[in-house]
Amino acid sequence: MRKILSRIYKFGVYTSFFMIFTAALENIITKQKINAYTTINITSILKGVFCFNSNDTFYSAIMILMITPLTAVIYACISFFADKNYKMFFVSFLLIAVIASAVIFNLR
Amino acid sequence: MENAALLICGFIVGMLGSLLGIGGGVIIVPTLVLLFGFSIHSAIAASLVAIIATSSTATAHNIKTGIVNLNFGISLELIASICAITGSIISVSLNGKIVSAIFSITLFATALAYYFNRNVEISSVEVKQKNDLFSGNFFDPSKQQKIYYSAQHLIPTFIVSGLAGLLSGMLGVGGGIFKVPAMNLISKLPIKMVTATSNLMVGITALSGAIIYFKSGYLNPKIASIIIIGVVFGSKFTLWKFRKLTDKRIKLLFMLFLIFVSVEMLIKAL
Repeated sequence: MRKILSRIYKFGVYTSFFMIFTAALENIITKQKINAYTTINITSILKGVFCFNSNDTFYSAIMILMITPLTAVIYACISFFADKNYKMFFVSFLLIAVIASAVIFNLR
Repeated sequence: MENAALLICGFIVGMLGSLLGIGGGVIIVPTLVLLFGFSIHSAIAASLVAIIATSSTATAHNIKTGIVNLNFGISLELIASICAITGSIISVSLNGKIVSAIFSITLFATALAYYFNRNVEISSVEVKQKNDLFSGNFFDPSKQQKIYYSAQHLIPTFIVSGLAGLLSGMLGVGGGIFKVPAMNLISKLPIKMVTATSNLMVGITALSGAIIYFKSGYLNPKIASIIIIGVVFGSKFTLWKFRKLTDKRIKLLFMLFLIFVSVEMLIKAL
């Protein structure tokens, strides 16, 4: 469990890092102005990544980084269930629900 | 030039974060606001994302070694995350100076607690026969022995963790600055296990707060990205260079750091 959790964190950080470097390179080439979006459209960001839009590539890098700890908690939750550690499964499941509620209910 | 300065700022934050088990928001937010002239909300958003980077880098290494107590970390995070989301919602509507003043007082109180407990050697609790949810053990390379521990006085630690989550969401700090002393002094846990578990926790707390700022459009991806690069390098450098620091050195460094930041925040609030 611990080895896989470590790999999840490593993968998240280094993928995000790679995306940042890609975005920086794209930005140097295209000289695009970087702005903060007021609304987040994941489909549009993903499209932008494949169209070499540095703003969208920067955003995707940050999104990958933000997803990393959540993925680790989800994996821990599944592992707790598999290990029949129901107390910790319930706690980690609640934690996922809390974080997910902030996204789903669009809290601001 | 600004990009280079942001990169250096990220590097220093990464070093401190990894060494002290904090996210480094206490340095990032004032630096971005005072030195770079960003709005407080943009600074908080960038800080929270950088904290996720610090936490993830350090946790990737720590979790493999078995020093992180996953049960304890996730349980404390449940409260901290709820409070972080609440804190970030409050932050948008609250006067920044009032929040800074509250933060400074809390920080100074924590520094005082550390100062008065500086000579108290927290011994590892022998729990070989005990097998509760929050007990565990790890190998300490600086002492060349296995350390056994069991968490005590859980309710106050959970309360502090909740408060840390609230401040994390409000100010863009990881909250490790409060969680580390609470887990070490109140729950009587070894400092190395505490800093490692705190590193895991601050990432989840920061994520909870960052979602709100992210969705509100306060996140400038370029600023956050430059800081992330610096943070990851700084964190890696610390793990490579200062892995064998002893408990006393970490404690001293942490105490000095607390005093410095509390004075800095008070000046900002006045």
